Amino acid sequence: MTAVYIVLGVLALLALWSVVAYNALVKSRNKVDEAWSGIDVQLKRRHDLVPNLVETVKGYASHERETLQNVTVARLAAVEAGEPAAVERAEARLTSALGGINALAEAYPDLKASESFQRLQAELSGIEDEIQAARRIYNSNVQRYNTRTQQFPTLLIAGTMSFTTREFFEIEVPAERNVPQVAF
Amino acid sequence: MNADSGQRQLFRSYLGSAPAAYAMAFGSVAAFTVGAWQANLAIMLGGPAAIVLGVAGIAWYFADRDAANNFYFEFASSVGLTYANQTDVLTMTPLLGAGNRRHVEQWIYGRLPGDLSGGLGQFVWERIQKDSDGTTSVKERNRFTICVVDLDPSLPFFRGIYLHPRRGLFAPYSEWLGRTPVRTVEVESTAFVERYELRAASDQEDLLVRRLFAPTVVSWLANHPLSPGFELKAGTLCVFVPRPLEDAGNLTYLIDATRYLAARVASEVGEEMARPA
Repeated sequence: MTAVYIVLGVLALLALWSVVAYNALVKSRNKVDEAWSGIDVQLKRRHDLVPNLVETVKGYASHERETLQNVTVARLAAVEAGEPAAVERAEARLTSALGGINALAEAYPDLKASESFQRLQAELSGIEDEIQAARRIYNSNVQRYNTRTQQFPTLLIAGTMSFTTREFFEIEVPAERNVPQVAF
Repeated sequence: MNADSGQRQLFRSYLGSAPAAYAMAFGSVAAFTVGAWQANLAIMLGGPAAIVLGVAGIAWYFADRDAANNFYFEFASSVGLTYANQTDVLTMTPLLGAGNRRHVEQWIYGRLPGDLSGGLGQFVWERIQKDSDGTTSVKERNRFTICVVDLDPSLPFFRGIYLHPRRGLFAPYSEWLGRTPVRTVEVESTAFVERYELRAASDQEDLLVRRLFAPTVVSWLANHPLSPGFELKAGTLCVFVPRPLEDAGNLTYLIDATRYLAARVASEVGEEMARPA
């Protein structure tokens, strides 16, 4: 009879642990989703700002149609992207296209000196800082969640309850990846 | 440089001073004489030793106190602030009204970086309990380092924001929000949530809290080496660390954290004021 009680006790402990581990995984996964929506909010702010920027640039450099069109198309693609991987690609493209506008500002001093352009650039820079911070928060949450799903013994719960690992979010900007080569 | 810098030199100089030497000499002779008068060898030998130890203890106490005072005075001068040994602060935020008895030691005040009016110091708050027989006793004595600044324009917008470092199971201090009506605010960062508890006054507009805790601020707080908490209420920002900071580096860090948070609050207030009614 004692053995039965011991087995029942162990089973009860296991059941309790399973509940706690499952809840911790759910909480961790929800934090990842929450952090993703944090990124989404900041990206939306950036998307909303782009048309104003394009309109301002048009006023000073209307014949730079290609650059402006690149930005508009990249923005549209970024707005429509849904999955993190697609968002990553689309945002990288948008960042790259916005770099073209910065280059235009160098070629058009009136545009660079324009108050509204400077204000929009400052706002954009602020939003980009927020995107980077939101990305850091998201990646930190993903790291904690992934560690939890891969660690023993939590992985037993994660495996059976379909807690799959999440991908990190990185906005790849080719220009930032290319390390300048210095030749002596 | 910290509050213990120069403590040993002061101790040596106090111990070698004429009053200490006279106290030790006369005290020892007196103790020895009393021991001899009573024919008690223990007093004859132990008495002078106790006198010497007592004088050394008093010298150490004064050396410790004066070294701390000197450090805070010099720190205040180096950052262009004024030093006051002890003061009281108005209970503008729940922390500043915590416990039954409170005061601030080593108060340094004036115009802080960022053109902020305020000060910083060691906030001591005590919880005093009255027993059934009418006697009172100090149940808890806490020492926090605080930096308080006036942010009057925030008064109409921020009714109460309380960011406290998580206390854990064995926190040496008790909760002080007590009867303040608050609600918990969820933040998306796991690292932040593991470090902090964020609460807002029940009548605080949620959108403003969300905007104040933008990802840059959340990330900054989640990685700050001091884990500073803060309370923003009644036009006062009180940034605190729930332990004494007694070195120039950490005190400067706390001032810098206050400047950063005050700038964030001011920026949100500015945006809110620019918004058409």
